[in-house]
This record gives sequence, structure tokens and C-alpha cells, in this order.
Amino acid sequence: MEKTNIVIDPSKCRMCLQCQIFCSLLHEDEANPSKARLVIEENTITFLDTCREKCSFCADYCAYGALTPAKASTGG
Amino acid sequence: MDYYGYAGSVLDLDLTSGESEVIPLESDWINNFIGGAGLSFRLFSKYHKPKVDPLSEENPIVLGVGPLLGSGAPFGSKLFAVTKFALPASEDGKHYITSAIGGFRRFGYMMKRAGFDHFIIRGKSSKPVYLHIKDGGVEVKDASPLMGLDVYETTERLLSLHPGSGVIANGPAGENLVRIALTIVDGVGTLGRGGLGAVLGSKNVKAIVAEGTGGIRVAHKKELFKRAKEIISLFTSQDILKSAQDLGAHVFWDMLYLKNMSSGIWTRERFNELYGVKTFLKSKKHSSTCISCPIGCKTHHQIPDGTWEGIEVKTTHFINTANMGQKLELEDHREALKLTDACNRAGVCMYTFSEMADYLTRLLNEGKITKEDLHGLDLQRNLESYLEFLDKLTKREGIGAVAADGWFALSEHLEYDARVHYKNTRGIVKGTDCIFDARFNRLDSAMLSEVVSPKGGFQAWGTIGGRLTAEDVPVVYNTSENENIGRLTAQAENVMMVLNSLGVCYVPLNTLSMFGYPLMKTLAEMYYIVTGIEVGVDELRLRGERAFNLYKMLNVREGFDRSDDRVPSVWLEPKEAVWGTVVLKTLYTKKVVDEQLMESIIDEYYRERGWDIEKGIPTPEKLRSLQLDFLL
Repeated sequence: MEKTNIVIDPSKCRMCLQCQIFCSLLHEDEANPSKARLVIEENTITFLDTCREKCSFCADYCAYGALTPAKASTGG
Repeated sequence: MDYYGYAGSVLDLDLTSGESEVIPLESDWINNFIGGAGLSFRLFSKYHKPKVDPLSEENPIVLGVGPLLGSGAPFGSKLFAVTKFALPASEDGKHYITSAIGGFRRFGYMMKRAGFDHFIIRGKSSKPVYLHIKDGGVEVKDASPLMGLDVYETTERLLSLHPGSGVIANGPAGENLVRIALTIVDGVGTLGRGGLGAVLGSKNVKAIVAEGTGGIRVAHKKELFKRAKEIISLFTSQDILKSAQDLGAHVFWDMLYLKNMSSGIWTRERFNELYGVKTFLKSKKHSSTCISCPIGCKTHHQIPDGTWEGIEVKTTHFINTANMGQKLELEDHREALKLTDACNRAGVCMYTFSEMADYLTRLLNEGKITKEDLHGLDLQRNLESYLEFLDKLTKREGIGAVAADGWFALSEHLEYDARVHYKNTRGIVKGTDCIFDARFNRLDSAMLSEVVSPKGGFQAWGTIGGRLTAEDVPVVYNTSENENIGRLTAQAENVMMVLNSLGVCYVPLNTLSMFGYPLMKTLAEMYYIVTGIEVGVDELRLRGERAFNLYKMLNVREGFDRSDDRVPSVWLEPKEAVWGTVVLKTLYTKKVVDEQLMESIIDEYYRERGWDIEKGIPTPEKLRSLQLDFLL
């Protein structure tokens, strides 16, 4: 899905997986990238349809500027 | 039992029979040894048979990760490997048991997601295999098509078979039982200086793959989110930390390395010109990071032009490449990058390789040995020569077969004791060349731990000493008024054992302490948040001390005592550097260290530990007080 509340720059991603870990921990109650609502691959960041439109929780934890909240997160 | 933070099981594989077993993690193990390195030592001790050949099937390997790995707790990225290492540590044939520390993005995390905090590898396979850890178990698979492939080829081949997995790859050096062979994790992180590659090779294991789909539960996730946000914000708001994201360890080039590592023939200005930040940026392609790390100190490079144009070089730190270039007098950084790549592909420790190459070249140039002593190798100060030596070392050919057995074998063959007569060395302790020379760094807990550590030559156990405050330890010994390096080192090692047992990397954590985060308190909080286990700072440190005493005792059983904890003799001699004479001094009080002072500092180390000072080993009373009665 297209995210309008997160500025995405895959070129800055270092693949630390923090976004996936916290996404799954928030929504699925376990740290498990396979259950995250975004997919991190080399030079690609994809948000799945299960991602809530207003959620930008993952972007709050990106240390590298690959995901930046366009505005404060509501946690979805 | 279900755990938060921990995966909850130990995987135990007997390669000889091919049978494996899944053992539930016992709460008693956690309460005594935490996890990671500490619990890996405990599991190793179950199978430890003193004085067996490290390359025999009786020497187990225990891999371990800590409870914070994969939980989202910042810096919880480390992987540990405990075994008896292949490199001889004494003239009478002792070998140290230690915990190699490494890791990167996938392997440890995938092992944990497959359900395992630890993986015990015992016995020996009758044919070449790779081990495939999957959800709930392990498969032993044929590795015949992988034999002879270099580290990167092996990694890529296995990733094509198992996309997204974690891979520990053994190179040709490990296959050939070269005793300075290490392994490389996920194509980037080195693991096992001192011969882990040879130990794996002796078991006929070419690689280990981990693939898991499970998740990790966190006891107090809201607190974790809050804490992680604070820490990550620090890394995105402070200039020096943002620079570290771009430059990796090279951010400390000016303030730390240029000063401390300028032991070669170049002036600091020249070294800076050849390997400083400008040069670093010429070849840097991108940075990469371990899991949940907001720094990402590892950098990938691409040789920009010249003979080796286009070669991609993955470094743990470019500092290591610079250090090797300086040691071997390679003025062209592209050549040092090429040599880094060749060492990594072969699975050879570049620290020891560059020390050995310098040693042999120097002796040959000074006329102390002949080409015949080197089995015909005309080792000169150029890249081609070094590559030829590396090739011979990897294949165990000619002089390479001698060097492959370590410093004692080389010294004996050349009738020239490297420990005493090789003046350009950074020092050799327990058969391992030191990463740092204390004459340049000054004597502190990091440097002393190179002497007293069961592993020798490896400063990391004492590194944290400079950051310890009254909130971390009972007494602070690192000020100009109250400097006691021996006592500080013992405390630093205990704290480091806590870090290593939680699986936390000291590089960013060390940085965090600069910004007012009390180290031990932060660790205790993170441990509670992730696992729900409430442990005070004192109890956590006690568990670190207990694990360290166990670590020491494994080595005492191998025959090590105070006579092995000897300061490198070159440290007590003046070093003629380009800019003047450097002598060994203490860090804060700047006292010149002679043999007598050194011995008294080592006395203080044993005294702080409550060990027998004359023998340098734990006393029965100390072991009982730490509930380590099973070692008596």
C-alpha cells in the first residue's frame, strides 16, 4: 500500500530490521519480521495492505532516515 | 517453560552419530549465567575434557546468543562461540578456551527464531557437511560441492539455496586446519580469531546456516518502545553519533587511532594522508549494520580504480585495513583493501597474518634469515609477495605450513623467538599477537586484559573499564587520584561478561555511556524490560563474575596459571617511533611501567578477583562463594 504519512528513502536503509521488529511487536505481540506489515529488502521498502493507513510507528524507530514520519504517529 | 526474551531451548548435535536433541533451557542456568557467552561457557563445561586436542572430535563448539538479541533492544546483536581454540598458546602445547565474539545481521537472530539460544556441536562428521538449523531442529547436509570455495562464494551459494538465512562460512584456511583461520558471519562479521575455522574444519563442517520463522516475546513492550526511542533519538540528534553512522569506526580516526596506532615507519601526517578520512571516503561504498544497531559501524568499500578496480571489500572496520597497510608499508590503500579481501575470502585473521608477514619480511631484509628458511619464498615489501605468502598459508604449503601452526612453530623453525626478538610486534601473549601495543595506548584496563585474559592478545574484555562509574562498580579506580589498573581490569571484565551474556555490543553502549546513561543500570533495566526478570545491578555483576570465574577455571583445567599471564617483553622496552621514543606508562598517573610495577599491577588484579595471587587462579573458597562448587 502507499504510505502518505511516512517519507520513504530506501537508499538510506541499513537493514537493521528495527522497524519490522517493532511493527510486529506492536501489532502482533511478538518481535517477528515475518509478521511485520512492511517488507525490507535490498533497496526496497514495501508496506503491505495490512498496514494501518494512519500508523507510522515503525518510522519513529528508524535511525537512518529511511523512514521518516510525515507527522506524529498515532500508533495506528 | 515459556520465556520472554529467550528462545527457550538448546540444540545439541552429535556429528559422529548424526543425532540431535532439543534441550529446554533451565531457569537455573539463566539465574546463574544469564545467557550468551556466560551460558555458553556453562554448556561447554558439561562436555569439557581437559587437555584433549582442539582438533579432535572431543572438543565441542557452543554457539550462543543473548536474551536481548532480536527483541528490538538497541545493540543486542552479538553472537558467541566457545571452544578450545586451535592456536597453540604455550610452548608446552596448551590451548586456551575462550568465547569468540562476532555476529552481524542474520545468523544469531535466525538461530534464535528457529527456537535456540545455544547450539552445541560435538563429535566429527565422516564427510564434508554444512549444518542447517531450521525451526525446531537441525539437518546435516552434504557440503561436497562447497569444498574449496572461499568464504564469500560459500556464503553466496548457501544464500541462493536458503534465501534470507544467516550463514557462518568457513574458508579454505579452515578446511586446511590453519590455526589462525576464522569464520565470517553473514559475509561481514569475523568470528573466531585463534582458529575457530580450524576447529570447524576438523569436524568437517564447511558452514552453518540458520533459518527461523518464530518470534521473540517481550515482557514489557511499552517500556521497551519508550527506552528505544530515547536511545535512537540520541543517535539521530548528536553530531558525533550521526558522523559515526557515516564513517563507522573511522569517526575515531583522529582522536584515537592515528595517535595510538602510529607505530610504523610513517609520520602521523603521512599515515593520515594515506589512510585518513579522505582516503576512506574514496573507496567507501556504503555502511551496514548489525540487527537493532543505530550506528552501523561496518563499512563496505569498492576499489575505485587501478589494477583491482571494482573489487568490493567488506570490512568490519576500515581501521583494520589501515592498520594492515601501515604494518606492511603498503602506501596504496587500494592494495591494502585487496589484501583485506584476500584474507577474508581465505578465512584468515588479518591481524595475525599481517604481523607474521611483517615479521618474516623484516627478518629476511635484515639478513637474519634466508630465502631457504622460507622454503624459497622471496618475501618482499609488496602486495604480490604478501598475496603469495597468504596463498601458501591458506594451502599449508612451504613456509605457509609452518606459519599455519602459529607463532611458536614459526619461532622454532627460524630459531628466532618472535616474542623476544621481533621488535616490531605489538606483543605476543599466549601465542596470540596483541591487537594494540600498550606503549602507544598507555597501560589501562583494556591493555592489561591483553595480558591476564585467558585468551591473551585481545583487549576487548577490559575495554569498558574507562567508562565505569560509581553507579556501575563498588569502587572506581580510573581517575588520576585513584588509579589501580589491576583492580579496574577485574571489574571491567566482570561488566564485560554481563554485556557478553546479555548479547549486547560494547561499541555503541560505550558511546551511550558518554551521554550520561549509567552502564550497568541501563543493562539491568533492559534485561527486566525484555525478560521480566528483575535483577539489581549488584546481582547482575555477580553473575558476570561467576561466569568469568567459570571461564577462567576451564583454562586452569588446561594447565594455565600465573606463569602464562606474562606481559610481552617488548612492552617493557622503549619503542623508537618516527616522532621519538615511546615507553610504557600508566594511563592516568603516567607512571613509567617497569617489570616490578607490572608485577604489582598483576598482583592487584588477582587480589581484586579474590584469587590465589602466587598461582593466579581462583581459590576453592572463591569458587564456593560463587556457587561454582561443581568445579571443585
